[in-house]
Amino acid sequence: MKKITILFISLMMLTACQASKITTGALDVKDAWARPALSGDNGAVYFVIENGTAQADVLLSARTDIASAVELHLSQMDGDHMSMHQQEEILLPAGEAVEFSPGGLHVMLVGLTRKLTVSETFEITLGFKQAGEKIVTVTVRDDVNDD
Amino acid sequence: MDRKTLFIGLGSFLFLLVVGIAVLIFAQPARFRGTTFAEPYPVASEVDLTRSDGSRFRLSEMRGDVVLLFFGYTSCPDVCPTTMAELRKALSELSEQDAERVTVVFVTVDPERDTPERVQAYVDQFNPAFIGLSGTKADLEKIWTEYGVFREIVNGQSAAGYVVNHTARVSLIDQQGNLRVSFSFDTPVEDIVHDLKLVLKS
Repeated sequence: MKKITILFISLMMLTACQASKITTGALDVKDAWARPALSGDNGAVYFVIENGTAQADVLLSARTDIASAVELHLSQMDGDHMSMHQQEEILLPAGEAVEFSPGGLHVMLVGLTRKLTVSETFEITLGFKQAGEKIVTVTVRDDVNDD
Repeated sequence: MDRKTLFIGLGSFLFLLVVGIAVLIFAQPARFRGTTFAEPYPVASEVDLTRSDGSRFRLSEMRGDVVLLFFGYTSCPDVCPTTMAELRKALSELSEQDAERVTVVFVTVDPERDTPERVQAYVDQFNPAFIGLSGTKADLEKIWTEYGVFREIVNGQSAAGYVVNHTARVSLIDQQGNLRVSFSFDTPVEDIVHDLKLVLKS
């Protein structure tokens, strides 16, 4: 019975999500942040991409001045085994939000050329197939999911 | 005192007695929220490595303290820093007195790149009281095996050289040096705090 209730609620939520498609007419990158890291180490940038346009888009690239390379990665947990997979591109369906978050999709900053300190900001440039290039301001913060 | 008062008094007494016994019978002992080890608790295998300052770290000398043990590597941009940030957060939710009785230990799965200095500098960013350890591959391999740590080097196209896929579970070792509970990557900080408080009370 409990399972059926959960299934029912999930279906309701799914329907609700589909009903509330993002229709801003623009592609927005929101709430970009990175964890503090040492110079020379690697870092990760997280954000939410809201594709409010009527057509699917693709995130193709990312670059920044503060790292020697920037890559798109996906962390995956298979039981307790964490693995990272480099992504060529990331699909952004029309009307949907794609979340980059700890333990999932992230922009990997390889070889930071400087230290990242809490509350400072830096810029990264994201390249989209349709939306072109977007400069995103990233805030360094110490975020822990508290739920 | 009339009969009525006596009956009410006696009735109340019996009622409370029954409720009290029911509570004793049905009350569940406080339970861990992480994944528990069954009794008899396994003794945590020795971790004996040289620290960045040249001193020796021996897990067996940590008796009396609670140890949170994690295996990771400093080039790891996502899961390892997230885990360290969560453990720092968990410790900050304890009283100062309790937090002093918990030691976070980070052992590398990447000795080819991680020197003891590098691992210590890495954990220092989160909390200078955290202990970061590396060693020879032979010494570490023994520890990984004993703790059932999966570790796989993957050479890809990444500019990071290679990535190390590894077990991302935090083990809690109690004051007697026994493995008591472990936490998967997605464990809420609140649950780690709950279990730390429970083990610190015992």
